[in-house]
Amino acid sequence: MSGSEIQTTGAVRLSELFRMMPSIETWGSDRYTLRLLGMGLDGQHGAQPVMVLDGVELPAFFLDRVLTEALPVAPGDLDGLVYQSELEMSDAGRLSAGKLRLSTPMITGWQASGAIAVINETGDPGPAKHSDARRDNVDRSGPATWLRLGWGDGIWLVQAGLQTDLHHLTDTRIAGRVRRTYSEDAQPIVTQFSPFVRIRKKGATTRLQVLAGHSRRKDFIFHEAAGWEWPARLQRSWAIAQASKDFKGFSLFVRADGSEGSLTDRPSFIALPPELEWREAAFSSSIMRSGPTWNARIGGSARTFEISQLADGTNTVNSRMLPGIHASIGARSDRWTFRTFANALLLDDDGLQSSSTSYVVGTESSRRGPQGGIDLGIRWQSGHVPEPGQLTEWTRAGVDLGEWMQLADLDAVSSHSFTPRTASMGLTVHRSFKGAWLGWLDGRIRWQDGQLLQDRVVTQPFGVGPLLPEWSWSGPHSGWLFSRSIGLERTAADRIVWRTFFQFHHVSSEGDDVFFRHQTGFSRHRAWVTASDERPGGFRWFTRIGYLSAWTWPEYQEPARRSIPGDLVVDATFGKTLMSGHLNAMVSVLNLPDRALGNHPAGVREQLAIRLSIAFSTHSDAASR
Amino acid sequence: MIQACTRTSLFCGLLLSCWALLTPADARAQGLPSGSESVESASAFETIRAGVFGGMVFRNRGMDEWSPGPSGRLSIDTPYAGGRLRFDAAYRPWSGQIGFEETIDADGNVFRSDLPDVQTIDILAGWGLANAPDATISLSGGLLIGNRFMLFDLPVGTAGRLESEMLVGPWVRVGRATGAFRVFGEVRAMRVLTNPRWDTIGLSGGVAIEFATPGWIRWILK
Repeated sequence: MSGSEIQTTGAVRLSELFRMMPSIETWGSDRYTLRLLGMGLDGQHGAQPVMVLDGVELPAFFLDRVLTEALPVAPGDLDGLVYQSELEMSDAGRLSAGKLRLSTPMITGWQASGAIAVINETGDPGPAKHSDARRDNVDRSGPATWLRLGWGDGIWLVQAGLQTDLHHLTDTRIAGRVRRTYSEDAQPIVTQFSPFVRIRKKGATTRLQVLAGHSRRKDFIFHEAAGWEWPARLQRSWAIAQASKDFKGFSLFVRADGSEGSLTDRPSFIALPPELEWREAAFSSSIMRSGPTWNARIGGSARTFEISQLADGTNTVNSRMLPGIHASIGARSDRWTFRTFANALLLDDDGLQSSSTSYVVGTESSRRGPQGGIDLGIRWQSGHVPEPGQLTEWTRAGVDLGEWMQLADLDAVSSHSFTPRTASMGLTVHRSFKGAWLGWLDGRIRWQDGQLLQDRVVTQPFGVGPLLPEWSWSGPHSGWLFSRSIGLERTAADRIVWRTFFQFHHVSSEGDDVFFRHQTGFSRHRAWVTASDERPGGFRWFTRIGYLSAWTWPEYQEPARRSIPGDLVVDATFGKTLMSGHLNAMVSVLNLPDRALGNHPAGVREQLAIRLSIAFSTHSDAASR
Repeated sequence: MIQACTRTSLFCGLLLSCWALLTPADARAQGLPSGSESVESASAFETIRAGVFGGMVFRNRGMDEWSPGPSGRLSIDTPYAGGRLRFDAAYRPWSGQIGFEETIDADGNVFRSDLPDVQTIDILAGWGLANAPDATISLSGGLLIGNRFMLFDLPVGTAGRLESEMLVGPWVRVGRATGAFRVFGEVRAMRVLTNPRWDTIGLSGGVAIEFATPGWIRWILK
């Protein structure tokens, strides 16, 4: 998506923007997580996409989801967004499934900017609340805000920023569950406060980025396995420094990052896990030798993290040291580019693994011609990659999570070591046509083996206490996932931008019932059309029409399950710049997955909501960008 | 859905028919939608038309237990994008049903409770088409979208005292110029997207004055 296309969406949170990019849901669509904007990406289902801001990877993985709203970037900052759906291991040894590459422009002079948005779901009872006691309000979202103050001269950028968010969980289904666990009379509210600072240098031979931030979040983190919301307070402080310099014939790359966080409980009626703290630091460095048509890169890394929990007077501490190495070779000609790489992580003491090394190896090649091209990527991943933000990692660390993570079962599984492995291949063919149209075909296959999954058949409604679903850890499991897509798009800057595609998913478990039940139905077949434009006079619009196929989730059976019929989704945004481009006001009609259907938490259907957003900037081109 | 489409089609058809009737004959002879052409030639935000309206609801469905009172409304519009951009703010009191609920206590005493009165303020923005702005008889129509804020007659601090919900609806306005003023009559059908839906059809009349847009307002709008 280009910068102008991003701005026509009127999105204020990254998650609002990502839902306009349905390819992100290729392998997993935890619709419960998506039902509330600002709750991050995905949940519970393996490696997540990583955010890459101007070439800097931003770890934001916590409790099995990527908390995108705590990152130092908002849609209004962006002048480009690219999604790459490939399994990767970063230089610092972090595993990710896909990359979201976010790019921001350098600024000149002083610039202040910001935006605010409120989303009101329709369907509140209004006066009928007083004539019919059964009726209750639906959720409200916002205001969500971001503010920036920065200075730049085209080479240097210094910026301070703040993001805040607010959700009112007034929906009866959620509020009812929350109120049963939450011992405050106040309306269930999720809040977030995330300030940050950023320094960037973009020189001819030297590139430097330093980012640091802090995030506080009062949340109701829904853990789908647990079947209820964890009323938690999350605090996280982080800093990243990354630099690279080009010398004659070679380049040097250095990166260091560190973070610490804590998770405490909000007042509740039920026993919750004791306070949890974690710290993480990583360093990586590499050197790249380049020729006119080739490059070779080799480097090393070290990552360490510690998880501690004070429970019953005993401080449980688990720490890991993860050294790693990475190397790649690239070559290019007029038409072809090729890269092969290997990243490996050495596990010092992982009782779950028969192998002491985790690694990702792969190749990616592409061919570009005057009429089109082809991209091919192949990956092989083996081994467990520990993450301090992962629930299973916490249970392995001996953290007391109450009964909901089935710790005893996980221990039993641990005694039978198995190695998770994934092979994936993606092939994209694209061809340009007259009138700036581009057509593409995309096929992706992923084979997974040695997977640790939840073995469960849920037959009861979710809730707390006696209504907790019964399940156990189970493994190893294996199966195949397929995605096939066809698309057509026109992205000429001076005309209406069109994007349309159809995506078809398929699961093959080869008789592995647990894998089948866990994967089937996560991703719905979908057809999508988006169109956007900016007209003279500052009028801009964005619209999306999509169809999502009928859906079932075999892990849930009656009465918990109810099949979800096909959904037709229509979103529309209209806006206009004001004050000579310094202000941008937008109105959006959105369909959010928030209407209850059945008892299971993912059983939601789209509900109409309206979003009002206003953005401002002291630079007129930025507000209208 | 079909019924909604039919209603929309009828509305558009009526609008176009009236438009044709009110368009000067010489313009029609040239095959031009004269109103649209004329407005398009008008510079965006060149003038502002500000009016005061009073009106009544003659159909109220969905919240039958509340009776609408007379409304007051401020409305401004200005040329934009071949039509007119419009902003409205409307106030209306609603009376809750007396003796709505009947309860009997253990001693057999009967208690009747009333539904709370509610005051609504609608903040609306929209866009519509209009025939030639200098025509003696003007006809315009379009769509408004906005929010209805509902303040219930409950003690301060009571949860749910202030509610709000989105509303949307079409409108048709007929006006006649008399000097610098215009007298208008308007019909509008609004749907508040509550659950259940709250539909009203209202009739209103008012007077508006048109003046050149002050420079600072034009700067804000451009």
